[in-house]
Amino acid sequence: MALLRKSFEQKRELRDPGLIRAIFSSTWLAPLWLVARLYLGYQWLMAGSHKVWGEGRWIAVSGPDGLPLQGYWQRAIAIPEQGSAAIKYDWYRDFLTFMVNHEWYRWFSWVIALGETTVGILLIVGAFAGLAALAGAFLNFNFMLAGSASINPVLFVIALLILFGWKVAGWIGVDRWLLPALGTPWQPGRVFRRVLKGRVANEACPVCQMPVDPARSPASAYNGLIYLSCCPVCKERLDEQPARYIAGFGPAIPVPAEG
Amino acid sequence: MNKGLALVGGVAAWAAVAVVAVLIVFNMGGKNQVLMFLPILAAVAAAWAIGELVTRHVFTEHEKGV
Repeated sequence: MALLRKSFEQKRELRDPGLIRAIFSSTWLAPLWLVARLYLGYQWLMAGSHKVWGEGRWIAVSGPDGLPLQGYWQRAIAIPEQGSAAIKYDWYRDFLTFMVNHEWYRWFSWVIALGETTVGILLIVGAFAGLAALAGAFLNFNFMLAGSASINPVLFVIALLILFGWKVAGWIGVDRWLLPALGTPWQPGRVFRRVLKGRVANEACPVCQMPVDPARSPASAYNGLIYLSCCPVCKERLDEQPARYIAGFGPAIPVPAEG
Repeated sequence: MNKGLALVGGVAAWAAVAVVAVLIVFNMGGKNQVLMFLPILAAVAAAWAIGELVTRHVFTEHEKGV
């Protein structure tokens, strides 16, 4: 028991092999991600375009919206007398039945039609590529749960790969500028640094006491304040044990009132 | 050329990519997937090149002066 506790208490980070890091974190394979992204985006835009445009569209039609979606759901939840049903999970059939009975297809058709189109555009321009791929994968997942195979498994796998490579998937795209500007919840970007300019809590690195550069130093956000580290290694240490470094790090600057 | 103008130019370039993609897919849907794919690829490459060029020539020089 003690051995078990000891082995789990010891925090160990297992690093990915170089090849995996090269594929999912290095920009040298950005052209490959671009092709994957464009193919996926193109497929979603095609799928979405048929639902928002043309005679067979799902939305903005005379009469109730989403009738094709209603038909799709009804076919999916039907249990044939012979053979097997399209949906294998009863909870999912109940979920679709609930949506059909409450006529949710009227507004859900807008969600799907505009969602597919938006996912397609975001993937093509490479803006929030990881989130767009996640949304696409979620749609694929639901279509597959509803019994539609088609090209969904292929699109699902490509979406998952883009999701894993979110840092570089949009490098040849808007994410090249968007991600450094916005940053992530665990590392605020330039825009948020500007917003939180008055909330930078330190002038020296909390880990090694080296001076920090407000414009370039890696940033972490804790308790509404920005803590700058002198280098990525120190930032990693700070993020691993923030209480150890921040607790004894000078007086905390009170967060200014909004407005 | 100031940063604001460069930023507007970059946003316009990527908005143009979105417009090109939507126009191509909506108007030529399903006719020839390769012919539709290539102009979208070219538009993305052009917008990215514009962004890189603008970033290097406008934003980097400003940063050097800091």
